[in-house]
Amino acid sequence: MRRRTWLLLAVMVLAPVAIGYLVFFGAPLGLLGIEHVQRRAGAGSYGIYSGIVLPNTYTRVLTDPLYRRLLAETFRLAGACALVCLLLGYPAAWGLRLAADRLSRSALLGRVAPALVNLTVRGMGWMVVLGEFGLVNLVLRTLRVEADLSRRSHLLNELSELSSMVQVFFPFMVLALYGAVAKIDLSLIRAARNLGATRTRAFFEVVVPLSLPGAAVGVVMVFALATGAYVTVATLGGVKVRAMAETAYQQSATLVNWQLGAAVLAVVLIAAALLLRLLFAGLRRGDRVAAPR
Amino acid sequence: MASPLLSMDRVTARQHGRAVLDAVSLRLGRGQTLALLGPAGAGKTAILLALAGFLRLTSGSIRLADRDITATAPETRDIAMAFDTDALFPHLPVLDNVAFGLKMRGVPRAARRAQALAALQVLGIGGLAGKPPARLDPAERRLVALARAAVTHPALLLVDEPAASDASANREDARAVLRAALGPDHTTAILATHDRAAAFALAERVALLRNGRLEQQGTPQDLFDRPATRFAAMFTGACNLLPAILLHERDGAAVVNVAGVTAAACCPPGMAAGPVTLCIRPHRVRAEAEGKLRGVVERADFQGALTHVTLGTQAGQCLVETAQPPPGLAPGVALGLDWDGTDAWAIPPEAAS
Repeated sequence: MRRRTWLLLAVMVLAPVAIGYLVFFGAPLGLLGIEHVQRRAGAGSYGIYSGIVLPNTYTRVLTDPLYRRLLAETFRLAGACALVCLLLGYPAAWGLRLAADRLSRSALLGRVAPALVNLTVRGMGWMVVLGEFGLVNLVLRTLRVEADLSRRSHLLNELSELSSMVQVFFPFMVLALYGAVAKIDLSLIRAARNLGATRTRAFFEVVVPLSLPGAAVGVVMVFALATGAYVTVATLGGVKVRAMAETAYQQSATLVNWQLGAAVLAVVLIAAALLLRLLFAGLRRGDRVAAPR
Repeated sequence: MASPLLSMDRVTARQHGRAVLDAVSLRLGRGQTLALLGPAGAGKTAILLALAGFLRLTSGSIRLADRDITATAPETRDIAMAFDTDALFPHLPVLDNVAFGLKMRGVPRAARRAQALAALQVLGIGGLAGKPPARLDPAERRLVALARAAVTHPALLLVDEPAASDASANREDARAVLRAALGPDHTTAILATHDRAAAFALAERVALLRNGRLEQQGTPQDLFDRPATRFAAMFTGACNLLPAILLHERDGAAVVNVAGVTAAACCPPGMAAGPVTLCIRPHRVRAEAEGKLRGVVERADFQGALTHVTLGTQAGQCLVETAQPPPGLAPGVALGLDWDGTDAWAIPPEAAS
């Protein structure tokens, strides 16, 4: 009887969420699935599906050199962003963890909070520094460095794109890593060093393997966010550096080519899901190796 | 000792304004076992951490095998420690935990696994090799921690709270295990424990600690028979502390006055006449019909092999442990206490805090 009451309560609590999820996420996603293989009665309108299958949107996305390059660039950028975040995030998270013993919790929060300012705002913020009329160019111009360099906006530089993405998504990685690293007993580091491990060796032998799940969560989060990154790409990527998320937006919102936009998004979604699955499969295999026979 | 393996010289460590260690000096010869004995917070673990390099010293120096290691990194000290929290690596099975120190020393994989397994077998826990630490019980975890520290054959082995001081563990077994861990070539070791029986049984030398200071150092017999202070007397075992006056002394043999009764005792040579505290262990004092120090039986508890008799005397309450209680023993009976001069030990008054 009690069990049933709890079950009922759980259903009542979860039902609105589930319904909302289906209506506002599941349904559009399903429509998208139809969208990129069907032609509408009138392009861009909400007409009746004509039933004519147009698989060439997919073929176009997958075979057109432009889109293949875009897809590769998107994942390369997201991957690089996740990797850089991971490499920078470990020392940051570990440093925070060591400092946490000395700092109060509020001081710790004070250090993390600024990093959680709205992503768009921080993405835009980079324009002030790297934009055509930004700080860097201003300095270059004042110093009368090669005029060519100053006119060529830094925004178009892939590196500036990457650095801004790293800056924007870095907190997610640090938070994910910190959660894992905070649980590590510091006496384990002592034990490792007592047994002859240097500080660095102890970090790689103890801290890294124990925080691997946190690292995976961080990589997945940053990779997924970076794949879908639209604002930073649009503002900083300029014409030369473009990514799929922006292209999907351009195709569907600006050019009203819904089919292509949908196909682009679907490809990104499926490819990202596959990549993440691979990552988790690898992690689980690692777990099994560490586990006793 | 011509040149001790380890020498700590006036090691002091302050934390938050409090002296965790206060001018502690210790010397230890190669192959010796020293027990650090003391209540919680006395500085036992602090000394081990200082030796292992995890406690910042305010002053003092530490030398190991003619090398000053006061400021060297923990990993270069060749001092292995079995932590009281065991600190086993949760992501590694037992065998890899034990092999960790060998891995850091560059021993090839096959060799280090063989050595680690041998170390586990010496302690009788070879069967745990493949288990993850999370599936061990606390006693097993301690043994693994001990094996992990001992397997590297360090110049000095530190054991914080050896299992022998575990109330739950079988003490005799635990002692045998620790001896096995020290190996046939007898690794130099320091044990930290709050259990005097473990300290006496396992170590050749005992250092008694109190509030970060060294209270007394010597063989177990030294501490038990000739405690330097009231604290040392009480911490090393049950004892009767009777106020007395030292009348005169010659080469450590003394004549004392206890509540008007003149008796023989022992004391540190050269002790000045005056008030002292007499320490007599309960099993060394006799309750007899014609004893010198008269008293009345307050309680008599038959406990099997021994009978505990509490006697009220003019010098205060006195506990007697005897295997042969006098006939007719009952509360209210008048008896006398007597002891051999070699069994009473005078403690100087300035140490009586």
